[in-house]
Amino acid sequence: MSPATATGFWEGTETASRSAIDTLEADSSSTDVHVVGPAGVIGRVMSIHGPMHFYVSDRPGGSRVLFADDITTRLSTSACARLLGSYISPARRVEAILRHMYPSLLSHVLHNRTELDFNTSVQMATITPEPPPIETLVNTTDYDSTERLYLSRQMADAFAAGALEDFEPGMDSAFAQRLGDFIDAYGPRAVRAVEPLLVSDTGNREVVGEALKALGHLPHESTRKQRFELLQECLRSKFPRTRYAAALGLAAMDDEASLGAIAQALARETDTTLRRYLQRVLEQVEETRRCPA
Amino acid sequence: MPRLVRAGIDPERWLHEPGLAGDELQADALFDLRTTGNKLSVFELVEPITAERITVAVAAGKERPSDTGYVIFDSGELTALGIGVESTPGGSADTEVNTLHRNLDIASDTKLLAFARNVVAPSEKVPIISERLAQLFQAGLESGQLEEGRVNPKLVDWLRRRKRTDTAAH
Repeated sequence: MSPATATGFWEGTETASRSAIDTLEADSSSTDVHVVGPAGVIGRVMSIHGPMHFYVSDRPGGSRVLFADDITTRLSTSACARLLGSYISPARRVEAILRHMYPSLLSHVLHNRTELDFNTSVQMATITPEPPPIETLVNTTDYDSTERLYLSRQMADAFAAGALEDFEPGMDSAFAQRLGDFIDAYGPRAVRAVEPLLVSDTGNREVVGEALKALGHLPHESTRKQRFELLQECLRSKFPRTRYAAALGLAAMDDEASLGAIAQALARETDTTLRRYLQRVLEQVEETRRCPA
Repeated sequence: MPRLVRAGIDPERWLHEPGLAGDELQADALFDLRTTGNKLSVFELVEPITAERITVAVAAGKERPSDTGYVIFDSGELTALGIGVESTPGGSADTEVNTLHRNLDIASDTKLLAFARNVVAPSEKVPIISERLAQLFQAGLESGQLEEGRVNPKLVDWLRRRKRTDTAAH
């Protein structure tokens, strides 16, 4: 067996057990391998189409491969990036490293069904070997396709979890936090991943509404235009409450273009109740812009 | 008859969605009418205190400004439903608003649904966007209408951070 080697910021060596890897192969949708750096777990390697989260454990020093039951603390991507800032900062670097690591390392695990071996001497970008795809588990090794699948799956998971939450005005929701972290980490690609869930006719309206409002509030400049366009698109939803939530999202963006989009939505709105809401929203946006705090 | 205000509702839950029959409500609407001890917290609308000020007082118990709303309805409509109104002190950060607090004795699911359909649904719901609410919080604290010690500390922090950011931006 030739081990996959990785790293720059990991130290020491530890191995994953064969039984766990067997499980990985047997149940690609739920089994994962957690990768830990000196400050804790920094990645979760899953099946090629499964989610990948970042974790931090309070274990001191030494790198190792852990499994789910070893995890002590779960943090959001951005929180993890902050915590590990001295090693890998900002979040985008975490992403870049794991983007590279993910397909190669996973393929290696799946292909060799054997031990992982990390050491400090090799850059992540040169992980070797690059094994052939395992057709029974994945149908592509193309990174972009893999990432799209991954992001879509992550967003679908977030929306499914959101349906279990009670959204209350004025209280932060875990769903909105997760959505924000995701867009913070993946930028425009994450917004693209969320779009089908927002425009779908079958989505949970409460969750969709929460997402639209959260999208408007995000202080994320690189996705601003994309979020604006998505909110604008949702102003044409067949669901009045989705149109309303999109208007609130736009109101939160607080610029001339948003005002214009809400005004246009008001002009074409046929639901009389929603017309009144939109009128109020528009008045308040104009008022707050005239008299900033 | 006195008019009453239910603050902190989410107007989008009261929109008529495709697939609902004429007088049906979204099930989510009932989330805005959560009772405690089978009673529903409302406020009497007495000038010069506005429904907006009542909503600000209620929202001051939350962690941050967000899109919210209120609904105003006539208390006379409650009699026919057998829903009693009792005066009890409110616990908001606005002491004047607290004197207007009332509990509706909803008692049963049947009455709650009748209240939702016959009273709240036909009454006008007014949205308040988060930015407007943030300004009203700030004004309420500066004027003393809101007692800072009774406002959610997380909200106070949020407003301070925002003020610092705005000051730096200007």
